[in-house]
Amino acid sequence: MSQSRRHRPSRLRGRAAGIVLAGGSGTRVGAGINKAFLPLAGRSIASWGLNTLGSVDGVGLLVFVVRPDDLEHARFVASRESAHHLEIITGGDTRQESELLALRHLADRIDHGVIDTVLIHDAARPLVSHGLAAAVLHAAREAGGAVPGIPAEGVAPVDGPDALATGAFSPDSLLRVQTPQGFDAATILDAYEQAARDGFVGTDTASCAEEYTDIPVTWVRGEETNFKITYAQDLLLAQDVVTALGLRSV
Amino acid sequence: MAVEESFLRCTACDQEAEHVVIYAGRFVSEIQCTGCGAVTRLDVSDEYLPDLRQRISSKPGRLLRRLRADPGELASTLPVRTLSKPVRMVEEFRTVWRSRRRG
Repeated sequence: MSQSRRHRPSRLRGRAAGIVLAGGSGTRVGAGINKAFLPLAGRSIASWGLNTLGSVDGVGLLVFVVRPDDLEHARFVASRESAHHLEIITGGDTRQESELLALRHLADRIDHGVIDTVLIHDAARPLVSHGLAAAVLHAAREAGGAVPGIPAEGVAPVDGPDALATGAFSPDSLLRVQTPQGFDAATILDAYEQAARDGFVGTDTASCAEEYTDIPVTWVRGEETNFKITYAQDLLLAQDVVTALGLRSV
Repeated sequence: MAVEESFLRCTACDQEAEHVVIYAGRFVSEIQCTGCGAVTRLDVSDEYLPDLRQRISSKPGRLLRRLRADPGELASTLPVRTLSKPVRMVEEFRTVWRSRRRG
């Protein structure tokens, strides 16, 4: 068989990089597998998001950030479950450290202009749609930063309704933030380096961007199906969505 | 049938705990929280047969892709996987049958 006819994961074309974080998902000593590698309809939870990001026009590179213990699982995903070439790196102890390591992995290419935008995604959100990822990428290129979110309707504080009356927050202004979050690559790399020097730890990419950059962040309407696998029942719900939408492994 | 264990938050006790997830083919048929013992079982029998047909029909293509990607890996794993397939299928059918009775 000639080399040229051999099946290889497709090389992507585009100046955006997709970063999928599986470093902190289900990390407990003595646990079974990281939940990002639990099968969902025939392939791992992480592979769903990886394949979706890889299918977006303009995404030219996929970085898969995993724990050192999960490297074997990650290589299996790369060889058997991903339609695209993956660059696998090991992450840090926190989400922010993993993001920083991923951005440092891309630093040369960001500095040389090969990568202009990054989409940072949680591996535990397998059902992100192609449309949402493409919309975030487009908005990030237009504005500098883009974050998907859903209005948190029906939210009430556990402290009681008085907390709402104080004006501390309004339920109308609350959003449930999702991923992928897209940012100008050079700006967010600088922000993460500065945050590391300051010891700042944010909850997600947007919080670090808000603290260390002045780029405007655009909200993109998120999707109800783009939920994070946290509860055991979420796995069943994701399975129902995959079945209902007719998605499956091939 | 495949059994995996992973840390998830339990809907019943709201604690993060190791959960045992039992698969029948591609479907989750049972999840058990090892912390509080709560068990969720699903009847996957309706979805199982159509999915099994799809798995069988797509098998040649999947094997071909693996052969093209890494012939050595396929050659080293295929004999054992082929020999163990009947046993694994029987276990899978049993899991589906159990989910049907319990679901």
